[in-house]
Amino acid sequence: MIEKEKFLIVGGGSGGAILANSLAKEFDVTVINDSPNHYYWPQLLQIAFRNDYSNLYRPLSSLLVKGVNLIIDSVKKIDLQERSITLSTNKKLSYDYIAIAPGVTIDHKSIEGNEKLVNQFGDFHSTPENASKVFNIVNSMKKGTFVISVGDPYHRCPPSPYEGILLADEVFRLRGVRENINMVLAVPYPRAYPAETFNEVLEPILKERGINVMTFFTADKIDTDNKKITSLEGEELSYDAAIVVPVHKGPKIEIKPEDSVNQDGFINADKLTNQILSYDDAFAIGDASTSTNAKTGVTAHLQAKVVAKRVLGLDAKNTGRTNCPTEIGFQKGTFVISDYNHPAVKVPANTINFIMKRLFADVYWDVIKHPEFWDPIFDVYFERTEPEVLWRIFK
Amino acid sequence: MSEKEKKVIDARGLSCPGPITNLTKAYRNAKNGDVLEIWATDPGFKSDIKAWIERTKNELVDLKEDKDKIIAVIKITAKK
Repeated sequence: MIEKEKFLIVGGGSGGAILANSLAKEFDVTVINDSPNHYYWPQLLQIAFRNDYSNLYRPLSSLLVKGVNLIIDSVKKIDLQERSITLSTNKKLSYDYIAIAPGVTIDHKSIEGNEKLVNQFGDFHSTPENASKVFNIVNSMKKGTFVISVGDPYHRCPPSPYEGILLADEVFRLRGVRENINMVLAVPYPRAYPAETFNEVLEPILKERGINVMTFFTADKIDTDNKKITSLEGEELSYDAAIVVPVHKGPKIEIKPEDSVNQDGFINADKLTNQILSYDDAFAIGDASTSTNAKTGVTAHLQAKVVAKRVLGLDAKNTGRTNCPTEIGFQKGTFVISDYNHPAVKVPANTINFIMKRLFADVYWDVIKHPEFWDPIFDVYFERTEPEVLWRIFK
Repeated sequence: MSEKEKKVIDARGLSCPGPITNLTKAYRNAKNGDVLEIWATDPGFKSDIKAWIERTKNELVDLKEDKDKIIAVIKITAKK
């Protein structure tokens, strides 16, 4: 019997787990994850505004198919030239192929005062504990100014700050306190939503809901004593309660050679193939890569499928497809759908899109575990909803 | 960083406002006196960069179109 080649996957999130399950028959696959659990990060928003923990995590071992090895440990070092990785226990593993998919590191320290602020009001990009603080504040605030401010344009889930402010608006309205609360969304971009076309969908919704938008405002310093946020661009914003989307950095893993990571620690991967530099046996997928794609689960999922096909000898390439479900509150939602060649489609907000978002959260675990069942379904979905096709419908 | 060692931000191929978000990332680490040169291909970049300069009060040294790209040269003067 021919011995299977060793495929190491660093990180068992959406990208890592789907890749592992897609290659279990052809390779000797080992996943290394620093937690025994696999987190569904979009659930942080549901905790923050609905106190709903239902889809937060599952044991990673329950999501991997038979034959995939799992090591619960953190990775200290990856040497692409030596084809080896070193675990926190100093154990060394060698590989024939590697995919690096450990996600991002949330860095509250990069914005002065954000550690104190997050301790007070929480956020919905870091931990369930911080998300529950948001739930407490939106359910106790009676008056004043409520701010969501973006401190880093490259954060996970591009629509999340907009979902956050609109879901907070929903909570305030349902509690009957909305008219006493001034709501502000402060963003680094020239307009409310970074993609100009999708801004045409979102800006009128924000306006209708009475949310004030500050553009070119990137949170830089927070004075928690005087309740003021100063932006990189030099302006000030006062708040009574504020959530700052924190700075995201690459994984805390020493990766050799040094030029395989950028100054923020993200791994330099080709946007079409996810290959790292000239190493045709090494890939970076998902949030940890420098890919210009959005940092979302769907990106990690599609990149994992491209890498799986490439190592099996097929010429697959990323199209840059995004498919970000975006809730706007009151049982309505839209999708941010774009690719490398088409800007975000103007998908209108409706209840069907909201239902699709909620149903996807429930089937997510099955999607991870059974790629062989879901791949043909997603192939049809992504083909029928290609941005080129949708642009003809939503002009 | 002296003017001779200006930092180039290659945002070619990124659609609007990718170039501005890349500039924002670089601006966080920049100091007064630094020179940033941004390369972009998105046509919306020209109006976005002018609006950014107006808001932040930094200096737009040059804004020109090359054969295959738009080049903006910015001197950081307004960082607090």
